[in-house]
Amino acid sequence: MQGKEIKGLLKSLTREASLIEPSLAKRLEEIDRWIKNLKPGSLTAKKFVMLFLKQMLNDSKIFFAIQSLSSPEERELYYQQMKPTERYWFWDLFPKWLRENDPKFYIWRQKLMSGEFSQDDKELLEQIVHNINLSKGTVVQRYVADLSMATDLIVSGSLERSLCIQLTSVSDKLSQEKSNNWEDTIRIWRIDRGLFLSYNPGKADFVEEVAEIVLEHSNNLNAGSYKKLSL
Amino acid sequence: MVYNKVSSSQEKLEDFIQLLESSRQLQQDILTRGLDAAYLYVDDVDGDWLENWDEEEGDLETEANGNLAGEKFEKATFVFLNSDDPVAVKVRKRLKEKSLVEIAAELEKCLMLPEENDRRLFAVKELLVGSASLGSKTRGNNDENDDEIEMLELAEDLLEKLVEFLEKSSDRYE
Repeated sequence: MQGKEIKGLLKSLTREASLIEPSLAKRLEEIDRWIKNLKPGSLTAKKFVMLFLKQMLNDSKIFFAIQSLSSPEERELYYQQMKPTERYWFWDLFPKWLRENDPKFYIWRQKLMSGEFSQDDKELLEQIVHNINLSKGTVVQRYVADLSMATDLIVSGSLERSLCIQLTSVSDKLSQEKSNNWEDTIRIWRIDRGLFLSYNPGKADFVEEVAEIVLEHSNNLNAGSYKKLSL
Repeated sequence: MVYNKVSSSQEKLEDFIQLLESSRQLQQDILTRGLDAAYLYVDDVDGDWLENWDEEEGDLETEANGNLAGEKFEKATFVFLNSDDPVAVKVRKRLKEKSLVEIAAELEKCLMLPEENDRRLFAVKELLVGSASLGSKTRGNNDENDDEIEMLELAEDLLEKLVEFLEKSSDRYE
């Protein structure tokens, strides 16, 4: 695909959505305006925008497909095709993001321009997700969740209860600030439980430990709990 | 009709599952490659597509200023095209590269043409045939004439159904 084609896809989906799901159409239009005002120069910005749009278009089509169904039985059948964390994303968090004001949306641009959008923890996240998958857990990762909902990963384990997770290294200078903002942010989105986990990358097998702790808490953390833990 | 309804529902479900698979693949690509995953999806990531983002704004604003009757027609046509009616199913399959909103907009233009000399009919047929090259992989063994005849018949059915549906819908959209 050529880069210029994605705008057409965005516009097309916006028009379809405007007939059936106005909140989706409005959010897509907002994204269009945000991109128009981005005035980027960097390759990082282009990569991010492209991936963000791909993710947004995919998720919007999935959401739109479900909303277009007329019967609850059909919707239930469609939700059954999803993993538990996908159900949580498409049933709860993604519709909330579409329908409600996101106070952080316009801060993304600042982060993008200032280079705060880094990929330092990319390999680590991949390893953690790999370990979670090996233990038969499921994971959803989204830019919207990361940038607006203080959530690096949404994880579920054997009991299929989805949990929003924020990860930080103990050596991260911004760790304390992240910790302070984390609970406020997830409460804004009425996320009913969350885990803020500081890991020590100097410890042996810390990746396996992180995966284990995350899965255990996804099963057992009580509703209404916002737990901070340091390994 | 029941068979068509079942197969249409099954098709939609299969399309949905495909969407889910695409989103899972995208997630995995981003996890594995980070922002470089963009190179998997776009040929010219570092091209000027972002700088030229609002190039076509003028055309889109003109579209948005369409008349109220046009909007109602498009809405009604969209609802028909999205239904399980066998003709709608065939049209969706034929024009699968286009969004339903695009198809509705193009059909609206066709319906503005006069009926004499079958101008309207042939315009709808051309809309359907226009996707023939995209669908040619699955129709490689039929010659062009068979395809034209089939599309002419589908165009007739589509026009008939649209008129019926629009007449029924006209009160709802007033």
